[in-house]
Order: sequence, then structure tokens, then C-alpha cells
Amino acid sequence: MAYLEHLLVLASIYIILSASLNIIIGFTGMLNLGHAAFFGIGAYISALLAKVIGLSWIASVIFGIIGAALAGVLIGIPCLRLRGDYLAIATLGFGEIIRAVMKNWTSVTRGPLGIPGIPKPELLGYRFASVNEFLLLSVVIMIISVWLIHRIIHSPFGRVLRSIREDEIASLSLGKDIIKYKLLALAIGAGFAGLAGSLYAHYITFIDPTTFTFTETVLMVSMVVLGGMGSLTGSIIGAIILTLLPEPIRFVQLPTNVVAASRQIIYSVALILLMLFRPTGILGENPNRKNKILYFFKHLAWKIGLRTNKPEQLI
Amino acid sequence: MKPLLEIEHLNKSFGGIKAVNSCSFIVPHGKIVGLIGPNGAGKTTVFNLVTGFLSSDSGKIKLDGVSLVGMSPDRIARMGISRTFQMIRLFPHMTVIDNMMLAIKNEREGLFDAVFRIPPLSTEEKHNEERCMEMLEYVGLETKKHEKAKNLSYGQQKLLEIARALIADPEILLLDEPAAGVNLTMLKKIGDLLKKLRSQGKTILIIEHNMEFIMNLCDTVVVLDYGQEIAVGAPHQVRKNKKVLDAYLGNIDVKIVT
Ligand SMILES: Nc1ncnc2c1ncn2[C@@H]1O[C@H](COP(=O)(O)OP(=O)(O)OP(=O)(O)O)[C@@H](O)[C@H]1O
Ligand SMILES: [Mg+2]
Repeated sequence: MAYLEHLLVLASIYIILSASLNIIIGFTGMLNLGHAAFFGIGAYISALLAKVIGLSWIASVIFGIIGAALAGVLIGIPCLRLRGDYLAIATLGFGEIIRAVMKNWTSVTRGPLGIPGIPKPELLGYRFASVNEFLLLSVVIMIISVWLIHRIIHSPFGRVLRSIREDEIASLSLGKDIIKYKLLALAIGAGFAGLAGSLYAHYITFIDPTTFTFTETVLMVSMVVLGGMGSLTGSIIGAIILTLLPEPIRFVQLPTNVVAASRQIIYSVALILLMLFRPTGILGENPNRKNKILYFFKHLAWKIGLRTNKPEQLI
Repeated sequence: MKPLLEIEHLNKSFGGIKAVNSCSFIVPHGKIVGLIGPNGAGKTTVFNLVTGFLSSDSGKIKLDGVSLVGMSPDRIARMGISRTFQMIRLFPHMTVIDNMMLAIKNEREGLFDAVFRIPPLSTEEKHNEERCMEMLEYVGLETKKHEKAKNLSYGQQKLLEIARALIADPEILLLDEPAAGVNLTMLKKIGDLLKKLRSQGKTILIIEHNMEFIMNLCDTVVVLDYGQEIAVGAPHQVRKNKKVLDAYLGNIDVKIVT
């Protein structure tokens, strides 16, 4: 069933997006509201290089990653020296600017018409043309990405990122150059979003500005929040749930405009339920993951009445 | 020999308030210097100026002859100044051992080392962890290794913050009221720890309201009032100083008279 495989490709892409966003929001504690822009930059750069310049797939992807990472640094430099939530506002504005550029720089991006006919990935003469083949490619890339992110997070470097989230002043007092670390975190997060964008572009083979909107960022943030800030496993679960959750409505005979609206409703209901039952996300950061998953389901069962006694609270 | 820390005519105003007013004093190598004075005298502000968290309006701050003015707090920390905060600042959701590991000198906190790990990180991490554990044992927190910092008692958090500042192996340690809210046993322990550090040649600048603690511990005491040093000297001299008595008698702390 190609439909399921299609969903799994999308899930892989969203896993990369939510895991990369979690580096910025969950691990370093910077509110990034422009992740869709980095996603879009990767998609556009990679698509244009492959289609217009005729660069190989792998080179296009690499430039997509670099372009997005540079954009992350660029947006970070002016606002990280300021305190407070400037980054949230700056990234939000940045997202809109990028979308405006996609829409209006028609000589390059073709504006609202979008870019059709983006070549399918080709590696060592092998073309990933069918959904099945692409699924294999995207799962491999997703696994490598998650592995890399895991490696980065669980290292002395990642420990410094978490210290910045916890208390910037204490981190400074221990000699950490927090601006450098924040810029790196932004670059890494944006770079992986660029990779996801490139995957997306070469998979759908068509991109236009409507894919890279603020709503898309909200979806990514929801995945991170649902899974739990600062939990990589959580980001994966959050991405899978929110990718698959609204799909069943497709099979109900409803007019398309109702379907689109119901998706939004489903996301909102999912998040409201989460805030009610588990404000820290399914897996807030805790080394004791397994117990947490168990506790989540036990607690859920208790809340909806399948269980009579309240499960013991984890410390 | 040049003093380790030199402060000369330091000024800092907040709006109309002169929090630090042409303040000058020195901290010699290997000594414990007490910085005392009534509430609001400007002691914490001096710390914030020295550590770069606030920028001074004018004046000189030198560490081993090198001016610290205009340097960022992280750079100053890397120059060898460790501090604790009057309001404890730990990494609350991180474990005790992670709090310590963040303070220890580590050349391998870069992104490159996180990704490539050549040579592997584990040997260094293990070695660092052992050193952190020794320090934790010394302050009696070894059993709390995997506890989140926020779950420690107030006194334990104070100890952890001191231990964290110490593991950085600084040239000079700046402690802002380490004894506040700590019980007598802990207090004695902190005092002993600081004396031991001095015997190892460490230099300490300490803010504290507990006079007995200060008088027993310090080589020199600097008394601050309205942002200015009104007396500097050995503890027994300072406690007889007329200006100091006046400054404190306006306050409730009469203990100093006895
Ligand atoms: N960030 C700030 N903004 C405005 N005023 C400040 C600031 N920091 C300190 N002050 C003021 O500067 C003066 C000195 O404060 P400081 O905290 O240095 O005193 P202190 O000697 O540490 O007092 P305490 O013993 O109560 O801790 C006070 O009048 C205080 O209100
Ligand atoms: Mg103070």
C-alpha cells in the first residue's frame, strides 16, 4: 500500500524536523518560531541547484544543509546578544520574510507557481524513484540524523547546551561562551531542518511557498512539546503521532475543506489533552525513560477510568 | 609581590544610587579576604563588577596585573575567577554530577569532539568524574551523585555550588554569603574547607554577615558602607574601628561590639 509508505516517508521527514527543533528549543532553551523557514531554505536551495544548475542530488542536499545552517547563524547573531525573547520574535519574523522571498522573488523561485519537476534523488547511478525506494532512503537518512543528534546531545557539548537552558548566568560563570554554543545549536538545528527540506523537495518533486508557513512551524513545535522538551525519543514519538493522527479522516467521506479544518481541530485537541494530563510532554527529560513511558500509559488509563488507583508518581 | 586582585576607584551607579562609590582594595595571593558591610552596602555589586556581570562606570579591576574591565563574564571565568551567587544558581534539572562536570576544566566540550570523539571521550570523562566525586565526597554529597540539583536541601545546594566553584580550580574564589542559612556543622565544614584551601595556596574573597565566621577565618577584612571601603585591616583591628562601629550600630547587628 503506497499510501502507508508515503506516510512513513513524511514521518521520517518530520522526525528529523522535530528532533532538530528540539536541539534548539528543548535542549538549549531558545524559542525558535521559524523552523519552517529553515525547512524551506533547505528545500528551495536543494531544488533549485538540482533542477536549474543540474547539480547532483548529494551536492544539492549538502548546499541545502549549509544554506539553512548559515541562515540559523545569521538570524542568531543579532539577537543572541540581547536578552529575553528576542529570538522568538526574530525567528517568527524571519519565517515570514523567507516566505515573502519565496513568493516574490519570482525570477528565481517562480513565486506562488512553485518549482515543479525537482529530480528524484540519484546516488551512484541508482535512482530513488518509487515510494518504496524513497522510503528506504528517507529512513536511512532519518536514522543517521537521529544518531548524530543523539551523539551531539549526549556529549560534553550537549551538557553545556543543557546548562544554558537551565541557567545562562551560572553557565557564564563557569566560563562557557554561551553565544558560541547558542549559535552552534541554531546552526545544527537549522542544518538538519534544511536536510529535511531537501528530502521533502526531492520526494514530492514540487515545492511552493504554502508548505513553509507558520502553521508548519506550529506543527513542529507541537511535535516537540507533545513528545517532551529535551527528549529525543519524545520528538520521534511526537512526530509519528502528529503525522499519523489526522490521517484516518481521509477515509471518512467529507468535503476537502472540512478535512483540512478537522486536522487543525485534531492537533488542538491532542495538545489540549496533553496539557491537561501531562504538561511536560510524553517524555520530559529523564534518564529513566522506560518507567516514564509506562507511567504515562498508566496515568492515562487512570484518567480515563480504565484503572482505579492512581499510579505512583515518578520522582 | 603584586596582589592577585586589585580594585581601584571602582564606581557603579544604578540610576541615582551609587552602589559602589570609588571603592579600592586588594586581595593578596594565598589569603582569605572578607568583604563585609551592612545590607545594601554594595558587596554583591562589587562581585558582579569583578566577574563582568555588570560593567563599571569607571575604575580599575586587575587580576594578576591584567585588566578585567570590558571582558565578558565567561572570559573572566576562564581567566581563573570562580564565584558563587547570593541567590544559589545551580542547573536545577541536571544531576549533581553533571553540575560538577560542567565546572571542571574540559578541553573537549566542542562540537567537533561531540561528533568525532577522536580520541574517545570516555577516558577523560571518567577521569573528570572521579575528580568530581572526590570533591563531592569532601563536601559529603557523594550519595547524591545522580540526584537532580533541585532536589537537594538548601544547605546541600549551597555546598554543591561551592564545590562546583572549587572544582574549576580557580586562581581566586569569590563566595557570596556561603554561610547564610547553613547549619552549624555545615558552617564549620565550610570554614575548614576554606582554611584547607588557603593552606594549599588558594586565594579567597568572601562576603559574609556571620561575624564570628569572618573573624575566625579571614586574614584581612574590608568593610564596605555606601559603596566605599571605610576600613581595611586584620579582623581584630577592624572590629574596633570607630567608623565600622558607627556603620553597624545604625544597623541591628550589635554582635560586633562585644
Ligand atoms: N541590578 C540592580 N539594579 C538597581 N539597583 C541595584 C541593582 N543591584 C543592586 N542594586 C542596589 O545597589 C545597592 C547595593 O546592592 P548590593 O546587592 O550590592 O548590596 P549588598 O552589600 O550585597 O547587600 P546584602 O548584604 O543585602 O546582600 C542596593 O541599594 C541595591 O538596591
Ligand atoms: Mg549581597
